[in-house]
Amino acid sequence: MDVRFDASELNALTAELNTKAQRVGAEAAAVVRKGALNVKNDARRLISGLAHAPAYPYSIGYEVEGDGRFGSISAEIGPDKAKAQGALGNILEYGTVNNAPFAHLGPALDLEGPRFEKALGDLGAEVFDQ
Amino acid sequence: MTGPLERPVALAVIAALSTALGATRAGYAVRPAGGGPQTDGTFHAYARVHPGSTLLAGGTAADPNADAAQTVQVTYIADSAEAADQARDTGRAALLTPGALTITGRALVNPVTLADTTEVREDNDPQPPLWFAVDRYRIDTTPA
Repeated sequence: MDVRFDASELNALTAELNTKAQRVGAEAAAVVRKGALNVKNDARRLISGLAHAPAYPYSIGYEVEGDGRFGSISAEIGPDKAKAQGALGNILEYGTVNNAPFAHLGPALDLEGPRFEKALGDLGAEVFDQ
Repeated sequence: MTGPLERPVALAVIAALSTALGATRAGYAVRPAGGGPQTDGTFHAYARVHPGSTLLAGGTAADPNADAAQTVQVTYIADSAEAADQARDTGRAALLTPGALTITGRALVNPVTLADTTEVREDNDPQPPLWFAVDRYRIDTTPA
């Protein structure tokens, strides 16, 4: 018995998926950048107004590594210890033995979670609908 | 409709920790009466419970703010790293045990989860120095 497998359709599908993956990669990168920006802004907003740490909110920033073309992109959001009051991050976020926490980074990430998930879901649906 | 409340969740956590760590060893954002240095020179590890953020997680048309995802921070404090971690381990096991939390007016939608945690750290502000470890728990509830 002779079994033949026609891979021409599969190759076409693979090529199409690769093309879409590149597009998803670029647009997913934009979603990650936007998500990081949102987390930074929310974290700054949540921690603003502390009389003893007026400069701290401005130490919070983000860095993005990768741009989606290489299959991975990551963002790191948090205070820069080199900036004024940036070293207070851990103390403020988690508190100490005698100081209550002012949680801001964790809650900012929690706020962004559903938005980020929805944005990625919408992106996938949009690309594969085309 | 009344939205999700902070206090009943914190009180439920304190009750569960009091069972696990010992009565008066968990306080509502303060050092509880039974925690800290004792007259006999010993130190009783204790937990401070801090209500955290509340995210509304949906609900019904009649009560759109019914469901909530709430975060509670527990700071475990002791006079050594080992004792702080021991208190944390005990508290964590208690809070993650299914059915351990009874929240007035609310029912758990999902099991309690460990949302965040830190390494045990030394705090040199108090003298002698103390050690503390932080866990954050996520608690998803709906009206009971």
